[in-house]
Amino acid sequence: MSTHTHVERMKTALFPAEGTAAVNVKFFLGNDRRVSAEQLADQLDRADAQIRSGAAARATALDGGLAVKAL
Amino acid sequence: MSFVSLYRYVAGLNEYPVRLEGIVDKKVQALTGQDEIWYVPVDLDPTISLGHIKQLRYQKLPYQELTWVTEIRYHKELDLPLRRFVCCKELMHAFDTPEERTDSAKKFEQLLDEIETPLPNELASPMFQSESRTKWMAALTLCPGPVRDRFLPLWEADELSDYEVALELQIPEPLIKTIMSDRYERVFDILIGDKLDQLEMSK
Repeated sequence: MSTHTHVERMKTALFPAEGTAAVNVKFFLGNDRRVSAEQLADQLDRADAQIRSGAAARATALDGGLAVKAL
Repeated sequence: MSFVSLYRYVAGLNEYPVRLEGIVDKKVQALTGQDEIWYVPVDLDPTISLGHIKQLRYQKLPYQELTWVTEIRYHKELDLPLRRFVCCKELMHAFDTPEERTDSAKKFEQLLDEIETPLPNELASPMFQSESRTKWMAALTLCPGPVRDRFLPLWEADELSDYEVALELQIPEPLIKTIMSDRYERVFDILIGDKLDQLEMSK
């Protein structure tokens, strides 16, 4: 098991010494306002893993085919 | 001025619900130079986070200009109104200034520290301040003034409930009281104010 913390892992993953680095990362917090840095970094790490593995893919129809009305 | 341009655009649509995909995001792309905007449903713990944005700039091919990719990830089980609000709030970070961007390991750690232990407003970093401002930017985008004006009298007269207004606008029900309060006007004055007139004059 890795001894690196989630924060340290994500710092390296997002901002590698070489290669593509992130230019912005922000969060929409959940229902529990007492979240830790470790928990948030872990969520980011998990999302990255899901996308890398193909378990998560781009969405289409984000608005779910809304019926639009005129004012 | 970019967000003011977006607001002017959605306020001029004269329709509701304001659509995020293909309408708001296309305008954001045009205003901010984002090359690609992706929405990705992922399995998150919604008690911790409902979503996040990760922006990257990279060279797809040698000698090509940098491609700016904005990836918005959201918890895959969010209902439609919350999904739209979470994604819209994250999309508003496309307007972050360079000092507001989390663009280094040091700033990333600082942002996480501030979320874990928030500082008083006057001491909060520009990165952290952008977290709360973008929620209001999303509210103004999904419920611009003309749309609010259409529903406010009905809501005040109790002819429409929070739920009914939320259903019409396809935004989260708990947001309705906030949008219909005078806080909306105060925030509007700060984020938009007379900048709309300046935008008209500069055309």
